[in-house]
Amino acid sequence: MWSWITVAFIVLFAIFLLYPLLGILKQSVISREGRFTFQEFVKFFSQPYYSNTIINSFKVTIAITLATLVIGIPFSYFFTFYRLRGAKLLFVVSILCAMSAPFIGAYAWILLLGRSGVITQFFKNFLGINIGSIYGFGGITLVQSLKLFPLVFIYMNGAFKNIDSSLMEASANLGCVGIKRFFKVVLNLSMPTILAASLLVFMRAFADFGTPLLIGEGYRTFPVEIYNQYLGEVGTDHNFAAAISVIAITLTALVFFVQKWATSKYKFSMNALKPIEKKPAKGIKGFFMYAYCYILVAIAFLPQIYVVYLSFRNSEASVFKDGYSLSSYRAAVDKLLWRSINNTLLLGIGSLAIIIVLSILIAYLVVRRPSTVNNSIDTVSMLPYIMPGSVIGIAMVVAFSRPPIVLTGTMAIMIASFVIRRMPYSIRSANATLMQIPLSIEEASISLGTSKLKTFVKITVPMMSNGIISGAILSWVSIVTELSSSIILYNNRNITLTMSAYVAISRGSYGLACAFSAILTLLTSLSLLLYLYISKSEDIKI
Amino acid sequence: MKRFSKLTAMLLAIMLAIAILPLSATGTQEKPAAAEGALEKELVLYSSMTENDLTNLIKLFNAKYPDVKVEVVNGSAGELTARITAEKYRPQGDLMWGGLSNSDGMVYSEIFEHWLTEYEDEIMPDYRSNNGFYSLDHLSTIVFCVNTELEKELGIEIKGYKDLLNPKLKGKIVMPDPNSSSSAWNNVCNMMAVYGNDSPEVWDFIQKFLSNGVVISTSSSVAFKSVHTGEYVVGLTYEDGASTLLKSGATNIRMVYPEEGASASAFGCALIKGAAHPNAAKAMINFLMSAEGQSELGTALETLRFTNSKAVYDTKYLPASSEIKWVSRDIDWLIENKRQVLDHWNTIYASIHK
Repeated sequence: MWSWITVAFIVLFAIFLLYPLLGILKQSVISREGRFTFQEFVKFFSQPYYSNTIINSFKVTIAITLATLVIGIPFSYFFTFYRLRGAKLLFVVSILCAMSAPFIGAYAWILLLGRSGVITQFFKNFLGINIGSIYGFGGITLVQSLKLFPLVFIYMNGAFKNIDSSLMEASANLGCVGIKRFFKVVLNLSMPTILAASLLVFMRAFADFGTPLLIGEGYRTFPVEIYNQYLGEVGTDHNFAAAISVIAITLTALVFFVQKWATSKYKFSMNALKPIEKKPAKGIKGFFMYAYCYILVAIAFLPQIYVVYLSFRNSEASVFKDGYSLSSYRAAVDKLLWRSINNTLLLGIGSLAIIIVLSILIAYLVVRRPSTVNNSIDTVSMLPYIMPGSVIGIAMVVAFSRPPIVLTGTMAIMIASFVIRRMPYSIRSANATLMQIPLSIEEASISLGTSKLKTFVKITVPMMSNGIISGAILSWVSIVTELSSSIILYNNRNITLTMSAYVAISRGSYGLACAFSAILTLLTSLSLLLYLYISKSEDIKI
Repeated sequence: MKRFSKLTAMLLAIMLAIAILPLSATGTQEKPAAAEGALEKELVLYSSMTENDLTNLIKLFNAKYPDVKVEVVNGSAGELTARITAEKYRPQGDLMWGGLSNSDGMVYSEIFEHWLTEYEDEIMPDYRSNNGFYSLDHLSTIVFCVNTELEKELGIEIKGYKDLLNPKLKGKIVMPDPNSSSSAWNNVCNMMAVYGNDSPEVWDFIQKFLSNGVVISTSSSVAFKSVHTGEYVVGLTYEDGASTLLKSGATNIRMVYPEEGASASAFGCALIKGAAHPNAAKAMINFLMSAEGQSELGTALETLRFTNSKAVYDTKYLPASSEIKWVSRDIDWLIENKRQVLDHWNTIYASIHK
């Protein structure tokens, strides 16, 4: 029976992953006349208009990665090494920031710091200072750093907790304490985690689409360019967009391998026998720690609060007026609000169901029945990790917009892209969960006469359920806030809340956009609170 | 334990159902059930027009055809045509309105039905369909949308293109991307008409213009709405967008027709090939092209100039045609050279934004 499942996976992956990928590859080198050519690549690299976008993307992504490390590591240090009041609150709120819909932050910052933003106007009218504009490089860095630093925070919490206090004491005995010890000992010990967190932030920031789209203005980044070129295509060929997609995959793969290589240089694992005891945060030092943590989290969370607030303000013709009402929500009802919510739930649950089944089965194949074929299924399932969302969207269109399989405009194509995008993460976490379950329990069940299938269903799956449920909620949140491939695949039938919010923002219907965003924020916040309640742990796996 | 296995079974069932769903969907392509001529109950309209245009059109259309439920998918011209192309073998939309202009030529001939209304003879000669599948219903003249408060603050008066080169406006001019927005391409066409097609003068102007920190926005509506909200001083946009703001009571903006000359593109609608609701779509296109429809819509909107010579309406929010200095554009040249003009534009843009 398991061999049949292996075959089923080979077929599924061939159709939904390899076929689209090959489709993109083919389109990038075969011209519309059917000739083999590198002209699209030549066009990209010979015209600075296009090739600059790579440099721009790398510049801004490196800036974001550094910024998140600089913000996130001290935050995590204070959090794990000191007893702070309201630590739980800090934790929950920073998770909420990290998991919010990717473009709502950008949009809210425009409302706050744009040329006519509230804060900009305040500075201009009351203090006579022109604080300039948020758009471009600075804006992208600000928005993304504030959104992504919690990832560093979560990763570093894990690393810091595993530092044995004897190491810290040894360092103190040798006269290395305070800031010196932080740089010489603590940071060095957590280097593998720092690299892992950097990669995660780098990948997220590099592939991010919503933020530069809204706030980038003249600063053109690579994922946005993929989307623009896809839209700019004339006729039925997507050759240039396909070529850019291939370049994107190559670049992210490169980054992935560089990080792998860097991590292998720091191959050691730690497990604290005697974890560090939290010290109370006192005195002037304590004051600054509190100030740092609370102000940081407040600034990061501000945009979401502000959007919810604005959703209740009166608005007319893209300007917010005095007074409060539900008019924005009423307008949202006219703009397919119910269908958007319905679709979001339906697509979310459907994709989630598939992801769960998929990751349980693949984990079982890889961990319990390792073979060359099963291991290559595992490797292939990691491919989407290096594919930016817009590339997946275009790959879906290239593969499924023409016979033999036509899926464009359906729910199925949305589900396929959600599953593909999320799969690498959930399979990884299912693998890890299953590896921790001793084989002896399943063997006991089988030796007592239970069939293999029954053992799998009644013993293995329930034992994996804890890890799977918490992973599933995180998948759920990232599915309902997905923008970069849905923007290519959606239409009026399969539109989601995220897309409705995006359409409203891009059309300049600001009140409406706030209403949609507020509902989306509410949905993701509730899901995350549920997650934190169920998992009861501070080790969130993203 | 028992409950969990039930859950697993359910999940498996859902997965199976979803896996099978698309297969069956490809086999049985939905056929319009209605007999020839009978209106379907639904209509999916892909449009880049403003909210004001769409609500009024749907209201008037429904007054005439109360049983057709109209749904709208919004987006820029490039976005919508890309969607229609992607959905070619499984059309989701029925017609597209707006963003399709007489300067497009034949590029989209594969995704639209070659069909025109019987009103074609009544249309002003200049604006009859030049490709056989666009029905051109309205005109879109380029304008600058200017924020009067900010203009006064800067102490300048914007009259035409040369004023856009004023260093005081650095970073304060917004324009959509001509690569994807039809209204931005319309503006580039007007620059060509004013300074001469592909002339050294026009590229010299564009070089200086883009060097003056022009911001390229992602959507056409941003170019007038964000001038209204005070993000920018000037937006290069089109009459209908800017005048809709005036209609909704905006007092801080004005429309400037460049003193060097203004020109218009004719924009229209087209039936999507293989539309699921062709009769309702044709009814809407007929409505948009008829003197009756254009008179009703024109009266309701007061912000749009139409093409049917028999249409009667009042454009309260637009200046009389005689007050504007017009230039004429060479449409055939623009169709022929669109790619090359955009490439040149992009090269200049890239050389400035290093």
